[in-house]
Amino acid sequence: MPDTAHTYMYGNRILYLAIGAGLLFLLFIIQLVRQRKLSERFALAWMIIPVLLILFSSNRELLERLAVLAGIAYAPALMIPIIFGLFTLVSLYFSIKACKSEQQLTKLAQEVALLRQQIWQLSQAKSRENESSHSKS
Amino acid sequence: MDGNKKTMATPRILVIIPAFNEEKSIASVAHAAAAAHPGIEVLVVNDCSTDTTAAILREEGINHVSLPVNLGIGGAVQTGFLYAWENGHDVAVQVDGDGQHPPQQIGLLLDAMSRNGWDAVIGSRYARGNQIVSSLARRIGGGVLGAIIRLGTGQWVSDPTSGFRAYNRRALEYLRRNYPQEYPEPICAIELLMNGYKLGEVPIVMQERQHGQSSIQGLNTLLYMIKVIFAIIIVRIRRRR
Repeated sequence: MPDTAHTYMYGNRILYLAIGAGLLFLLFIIQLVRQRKLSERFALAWMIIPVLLILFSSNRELLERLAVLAGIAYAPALMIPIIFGLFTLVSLYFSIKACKSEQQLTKLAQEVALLRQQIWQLSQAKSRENESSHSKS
Repeated sequence: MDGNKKTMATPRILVIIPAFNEEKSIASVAHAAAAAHPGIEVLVVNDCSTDTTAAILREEGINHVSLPVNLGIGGAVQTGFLYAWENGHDVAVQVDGDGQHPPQQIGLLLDAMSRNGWDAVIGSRYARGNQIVSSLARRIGGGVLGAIIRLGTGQWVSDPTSGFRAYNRRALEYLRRNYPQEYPEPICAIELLMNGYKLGEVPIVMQERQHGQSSIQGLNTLLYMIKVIFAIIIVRIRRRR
């Protein structure tokens, strides 16, 4: 078997593996959504990774073109920076979400504390009122 | 509640005491603060303490709010600012719950603030006129932070980590929305200055903390410095609100 054909075949095998892994990952995310362990909004962010992984892996021509643009001789190797980039973006997205949730939690906790304090003050005033009415009667 | 309602006759002063596991000192600090100056109201912000702080506050009848989760010093103090704003207080004074800040010196902060027309005042251990014995690491740390604040804002702050402070209603309006959650003291100083608020310092003498230990010591001092410097850079480059 000529070298180029050999490399091409093994390259394809890696791409088939990537498609398989992407499909498994996709199924896993769908299962998490079905079990209500992952909300649709977050699932969508995670689904971007396997969908793009499958897209790039199933279109060798597109991958070859992108590899030429990136200056990478072996096209399937392009999957590494693509996957790394996607995970980085998704992680960043979740960091932003976590930051927002933290701010909302702080606000909520402060509101709860202030409302509790108002209830406490009202109950104190009420008990004082009751005591004074009892002593009058 | 209408946060804009306020009476101009006698200024209403709220002393905010953030407390996390301060069962040994909180009652004495709160009572001393209440007696420190005429017209003072006290609010202890119990930051989800796991000791008997909450029970002590209830038993002693001390005005307090109890946070349902631990927010840290930034979130706790900001809760006090929200309370002060909503209840129409004219001035909010921040005093630590560990007994380090002498409530008797609250008057110094208030006088300096009204005399100089400042929006905020820091009780400084290192301001001119003060002779204080402090560790070399702390002095160097404070000096570096002060220099960075000066570089960013043009104003020298001798004790940027001091938590003994007072704010008027103008500053409260800003801080209730924007109080920093991480390293609040130095960041708050730089944020106020960058947003055009007048900030001053008065020399005060701090006491030894009654109980507990500072978290900023040893290697932590260096780590704290790095984190604060990074946070200051973020504040500088962040879009203004």
